[in-house]
Formats: sequence, structure tokens, C-alpha cells
Amino acid sequence: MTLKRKIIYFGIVVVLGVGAYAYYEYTRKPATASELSTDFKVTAEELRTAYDNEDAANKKYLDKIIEVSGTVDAVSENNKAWDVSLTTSDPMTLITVQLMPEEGEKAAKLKEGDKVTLKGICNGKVSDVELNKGTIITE
Amino acid sequence: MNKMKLIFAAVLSLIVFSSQAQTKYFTKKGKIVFRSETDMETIEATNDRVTSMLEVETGKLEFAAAITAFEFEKALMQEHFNEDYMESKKYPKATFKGTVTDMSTVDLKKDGTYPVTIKGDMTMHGVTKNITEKASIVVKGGKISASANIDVKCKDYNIKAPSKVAEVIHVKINIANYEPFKK
Repeated sequence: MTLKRKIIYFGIVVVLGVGAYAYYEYTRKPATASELSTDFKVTAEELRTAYDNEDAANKKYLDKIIEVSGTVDAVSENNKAWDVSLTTSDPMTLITVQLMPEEGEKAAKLKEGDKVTLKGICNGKVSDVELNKGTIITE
Repeated sequence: MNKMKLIFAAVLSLIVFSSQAQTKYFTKKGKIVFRSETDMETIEATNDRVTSMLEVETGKLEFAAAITAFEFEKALMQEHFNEDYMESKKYPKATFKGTVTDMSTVDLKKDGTYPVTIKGDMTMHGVTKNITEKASIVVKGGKISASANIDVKCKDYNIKAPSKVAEVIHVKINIANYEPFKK
């Protein structure tokens, strides 16, 4: 193989590699909590208390993967996804985890009062402390 | 004894009356969809956990949405949106605090679509802007929903979007089925 040919082949491999990477990056779907490793394990009450100081809590928890355990307050279907709220000592600020649609079957079985651990990506506090892209860890 | 009963009845009726004079409506399941259209690319994102409160007597209206809760089809779009344009770590929420200025034209006892005007402060990306927009309130079987289509200029909120993102973002707000506020 001549040197010129080697360089051409190498060039093709590089172009294909870059192209494949660019395609992968361009079409990549947003990650869900189940694909990511947990950053923090907390109880629902601990997470709510942390959000008494919203700025500090956001610095620590925003966009992080959190496993939160607590007692189910309500389960509801919301636009194909499932929302599970966990009770806290403040009825105005629950911990609400929006589960991925594929968790629906498991979510539908949850009832008020059940103990559960959920994993999700923290979006901060709106009225509740919100997590999304969630999954059920234990029932 | 009769007097006691009378007082008890009076207190009870007062409690019942005050709970009937409920004027606040609330939901945590409002939806905001935004759309950026350019020749290069259409970008759309949805947030269906928008909190909103509507006070019927005064027309006071508020809503709030977490920026990182906007979901995109592609990961790169979501990452750019959060990290580069909205800087969601620094400014995690978008809020509106204002009033439905003509709430008195809405008859909650009569089904229908009522065109209204909303006026108030919209805050996002650390910038607060007083806005006046057209909206509509829908009453159906005693349930209240609200919707508005708002065009947001990135420049107004100091959002530095690149050329592939439109300068004007179409924002569709849809708050379906407010629930009477119990607390």
C-alpha cells in the first residue's frame, strides 16, 4: 500500500468517525433517571426542609439525580406520564416525582400511604419540590 | 343549653359559609409549550408541571414553572437551553405575577369561552418585564381553564440565542382544570 493510499484510507476513517459521533450527538435523547447514577439519597422530609433555603438547595440538588423515600400522598396520570407525590410535614410543599411513561403499570398500583423510594432528576421547587424523568426503585 | 346549641349552630354555619366563599383556584398541572421556528430547525419543548393560582374576585393570576422541567426531543437542545441560553442553574424558575384585568366579565356559572386581558410581571432569566397579553378563560361545567399564546423576544429577557434559535419564541400556556383551593 502506498503512503498516499494509507493517508486516503485514514482520512475516510476519520471522516466516518466524526460523522458517526456527530450523528449520535445530534440524535441523542435526554437521559432518564434510571440511566444515571444517583447523586443523593434523601427522605422526602429532608428534601423539603432543604428547600426552606431555596438558593442553597438549588446549588446542591438542582439537575442532580436524587433517590427520595417517603409515603405516597397521591398518584395521578398527567399527560401520559405519572406523577407520584410524597407527603411532608408541609401540605403545601410535597415532593412530586414525574415518572417515565413506562413506569405506568407499577405506578398505577401505588396507593396513598404506601412507602416507596423514587429516583428522579431534581427541577427545584415550584409549589412542590419537583423531580422528573423518574423511576420507582422500591415498592 | 339551648343557647349553647344556638352558638354552636352559628359557629358551624359560619365555617360552612366561609368555605363556600371559596374564590381561589389552583393547579400544579398546567402546561407550557414553546416553539422556535427557523429555516434551519424547529425546536419545541414542553413543561406539564406548571403551578398556577387564580383568585376569582380580584382576578389575581400567578404561574410558575421550573426551567429544567422543560422537556425536549433531543438531549443537545435541552443542554444548550439550560446551560447556554436560560442559565437554569442561576435562574431556575420562570414566573408570572399579575391580574386578569377584566375578570368581572367572566361568569363562572355560565359555560363559555371568555376573552380576557392579563397584565403583570413576567420574570425569566433574571429579567422582569411588565406585559399585557390577550388570554382566554374557559368555563365548562363549573370547571375553569385558561390559555394564552404569548410571543417572547429573547432580547427582552437578555437571552443570548444563536441564529438557529428564532428571535421570537412562541409560548403556548394552557392551564386546564383549575381546582378549588382547599388549604
